Formats: sequence, structure tokens, C-alpha cells
Amino acid sequence: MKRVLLLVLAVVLAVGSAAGAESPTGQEILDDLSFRTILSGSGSAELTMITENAKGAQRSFSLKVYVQMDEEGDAQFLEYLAPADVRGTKFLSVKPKDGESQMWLYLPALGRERRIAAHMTGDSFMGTDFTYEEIGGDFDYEEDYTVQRLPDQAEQGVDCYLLELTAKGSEALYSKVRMWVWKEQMVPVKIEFYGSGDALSKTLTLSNFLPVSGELIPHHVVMANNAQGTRTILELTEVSQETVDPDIFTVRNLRR
Amino acid sequence: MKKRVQILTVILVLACAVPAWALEPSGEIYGSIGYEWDRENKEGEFASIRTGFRLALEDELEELGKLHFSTKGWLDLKQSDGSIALDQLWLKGYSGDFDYQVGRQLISWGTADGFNPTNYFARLNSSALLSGDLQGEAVWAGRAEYYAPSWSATGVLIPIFAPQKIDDLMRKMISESHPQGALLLEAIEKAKKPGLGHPEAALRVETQLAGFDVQASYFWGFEPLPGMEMVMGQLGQPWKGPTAASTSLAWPWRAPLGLPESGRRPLTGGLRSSRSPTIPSKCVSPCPSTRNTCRPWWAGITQWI
Repeated sequence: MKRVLLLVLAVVLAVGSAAGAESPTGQEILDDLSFRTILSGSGSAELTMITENAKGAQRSFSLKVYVQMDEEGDAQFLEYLAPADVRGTKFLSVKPKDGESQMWLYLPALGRERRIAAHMTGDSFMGTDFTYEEIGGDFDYEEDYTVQRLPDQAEQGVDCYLLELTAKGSEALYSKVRMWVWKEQMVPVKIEFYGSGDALSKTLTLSNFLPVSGELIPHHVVMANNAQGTRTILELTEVSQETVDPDIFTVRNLRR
Repeated sequence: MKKRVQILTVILVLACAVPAWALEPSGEIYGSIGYEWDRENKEGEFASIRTGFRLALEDELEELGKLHFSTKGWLDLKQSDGSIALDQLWLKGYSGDFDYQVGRQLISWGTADGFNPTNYFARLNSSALLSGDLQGEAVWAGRAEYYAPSWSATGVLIPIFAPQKIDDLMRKMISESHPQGALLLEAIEKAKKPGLGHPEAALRVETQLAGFDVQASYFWGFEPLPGMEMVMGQLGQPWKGPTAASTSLAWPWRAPLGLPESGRRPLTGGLRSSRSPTIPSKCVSPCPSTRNTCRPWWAGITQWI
């Protein structure tokens, strides 16, 4: 079973094409997306995260993120570098290949980590418009949604496939998800998340795609909360494709 | 005047140290306003206008460890009162599978926030639950952690016992809760504290089982506040008439076993069993001479969710 990752910084990258099909189905498009993290398997990145409230007031954060994806599973480690009041806050997400994902949040004020319980993974991560699930790369389209292709649309000035994913059951965080996939590059450029009553809940926009190690990486990511009028903006500043020490992705490292 | 000079010295030392050690600052500033309303007289006034801060400076010693200094304080403009104190000062070292930490540090024990029955070290003040400041007090201690692939163990040694601080709110509650509350308060403050010969220690083993973080811990130490002991004795010999009671305050020894857990399911809780053998050898204040045998221990199990 293929799992589509929605990592915070990484939201979705793809390489390849729609297998040459003239009119691929929604499932074929989804299957053909060669999703990768922004760090392409293993690496680290620095980014600026800006949270914006409904009145437009902004607050800026500096973060460092490490990602590792291999045959054993996926892992992500995120650390706040600034500002001073959140410096040292860390987040660890580990998803074994054949197991449930586990998440911990380390708060320096408490001096220990907190395990994120399953019922909290849909909650807001550190006051942003991302959920723990989305931050931790555990958003599973394939398991929780059925996909359908809608008429193509242009988005951000490029031709896109439009996919609609409908929740299979109540387990899914959103009732419906719409995804615009750039035909030429097979990368999503926009994703809409719908809540109960099919009301538009959040919109994710990916832009400023730049090549890093031969792959296109979105350097500007915006998650807008349509219900609350807030936004979270991610600006990628530095990317390193160097292999990350596996010890980074441990509870021990959270406490260090 | 002397105090001012000392504070100034600390700040200067830090200012000089920053460029050399590349200390990374972090911290917070917060404010609170207290307002009291007299319903009968329909009058109100600001009871407190408090500003507090916590400043931390940290230096990563490359892969070898970390140095940490933090201070905290507050200033109440209404009460014209304030405080500045050392929060934490510790050195951490990494060596193979071991991590070490020595100095005044925050020791987090257990898995629950707020009401945490296995929190033996980071004592909260009386307004912690209301204010949300659940950090607790740091203590002077040495700590060693061992990390195996699937489990870890932590040992803590506190050479000098630090009792629960009686803050203003707690002082008020004790003195007003009983007609002799003021006397009790005075007795608590005068009770002799365990000294150098009475260290505290704790051991904890952690692992992950089926999506749960599970801990088992054992603590050797004292209750945070002294307990009152009443010993019944006979008046004189050979007359075996009425008895007399003598009381004293002492820090009861305790040795609880904790089994807290936290998991992917919405459950955080565990078990704690306690035995508090207040035997004479563990009494710190002078024990009444009329007592010549050990009192029986008590044991209990507490479950919290």
C-alpha cells in the first residue's frame, strides 16, 4: 500500500510523469506521484515559519528539521531555534514501516517530553495551522480516502489535474480533500481540506519550486485556515542532503 | 546596597562571557494583574501588578555536552516587592551510552502534568496549577542516564535535602486554616531539616510497550513538608495514671514505587505504592525519649488517571 506523505516542509514532491497515459484516472495520478520529502530521503533544512492571526499580525519562528526515510520507516525531528521563548522546543515523529506512528513533543519548561496521544494528532501543532499529523508526515490519503478525478483546472498559472479524495469513514480527519497536481512536474501546487458539512477548512499552497539535487522543492508553503482566517507560512532557507545521524531521531536526543 | 552590588556583578560576568562561549539566550517575560473587588462596599483596587522573567543562557560544548545558566525573578509594582534568584546552573556531558548532568537542575519525574504523584523533585508552588507554571523548582543534584536500544535508566542523587518552600499563599492558607495555624507555621519553619548526612536518591527505568511510555521508579527520600508526630507517654513512675502527649515535627522518610505511563490512547496514569517508615533513625528533629520502638510502617497504593 502506498502512503502519501504530507510533511511539513516537504509537503510533497514528485518526479516523473503520469506514465504516459493520455487520460489517467485519479488513482493512477495519485499512484504516479513519486512523493518525497523535501530532503529527499535523508537530510536537514532550516526554515522560517510565520504564523499570522485573523487580524494579520505575524510572528516569526526559526526552525531546523531533520528527516530520514528508508526501508525501516520514516522519522522527523524538528527543533525551534528562535525566538527565545520557544527555543529548545523539539518534536519527534517516528513511523516504522509496519507500525503505528509515534510522536513526542519536548518542552524545555517542563524538562521532559510528552507523548502525543492518538486522539491529539489532529490538534494544532504549537499554535500553527498544521496538525501534529501533518507536521509528523502521518497524513494517510490512501488508507482513509477514495480518489476521484475531476475536470482539469489551471492553478498558479500551470495546467493541473484536479483530484478529489473523499473520506471512507469517520476515522479520516477531513471529509474531503481536493488536490491540484501540476501536470508537467507531477507535484501538488494546492490542496484544499474540507471539514464537516463539506465546509472548506484549510488550504495548502505550494510555490517557488526550486531544484535541489535535481528535484523540485517548494520553498514557499502556506497553510491557510479558512474557518479562522489564520495562516502559517513556511519559507525554506537552507537545505542539506547530507545523511543524518540516526541517533537524531531518538527520545534521548529530545532531552539533550 | 550589598545586594545591588552582587546582582550587578552577575550581569557583568554574563556580559563578558557571551562572546567567548557563544551562549545562546532564551527565556520569557510575563505579566499579571490582580484585582480585588469588595462587594459589600462596592470598592475595588489592584492587588498586584506583577512582571516576571526567566532568562536562560546555554552553550553547546560541541558533541561533548552542554552548559546551562538560567535566572528568574519578578517585580510587583503594587506591592513594591520583588525577587531575583538562580534558577538552574548545570553542566551536561555525553559519553557513549551515558549522559551525565551535575548542578542545580530541573528533574522531571513521572509522565503527568499538574497533579503528578511521582513528581518528587520539581516542587510546585501553591499557585502553579492556576497560573499554568508547572516547571517546578530546580534542585542541586547529580544525574546519570543510561540508554540501551529499547530501554533507559536514570539515577538521581540529591546530596542536600531541599524542603517545600512556603510561599505567601501557602503561608496564608496554613495560618488561616486552623486557630493555631500561625503556631504550626512557626513550628514548620523551625523544624530541623535533614542535612548532609541524609541524601535523597531515585532510580527510574523506562521503556516503550505497545505504544505506551512506561516507567518504573523508586525513590528514597523525605516528604516535602515535616509531619507532626504525637507520642503518648506515661507520667512518672510507679504511678500508671494518665498519659501525656509530646509532639514534634520531623520530615517523614518515604520510599514510594511509581509506575506511571503515557500512551497513544488518551490515558495517562499509573500506580504508586508508598511506605513511609518514620523510624527513629530517620527522624531529623529530636525524637521524644519516651518512644523506644519503631512505629509500624504504612503502605498504600494510589492509582491516578
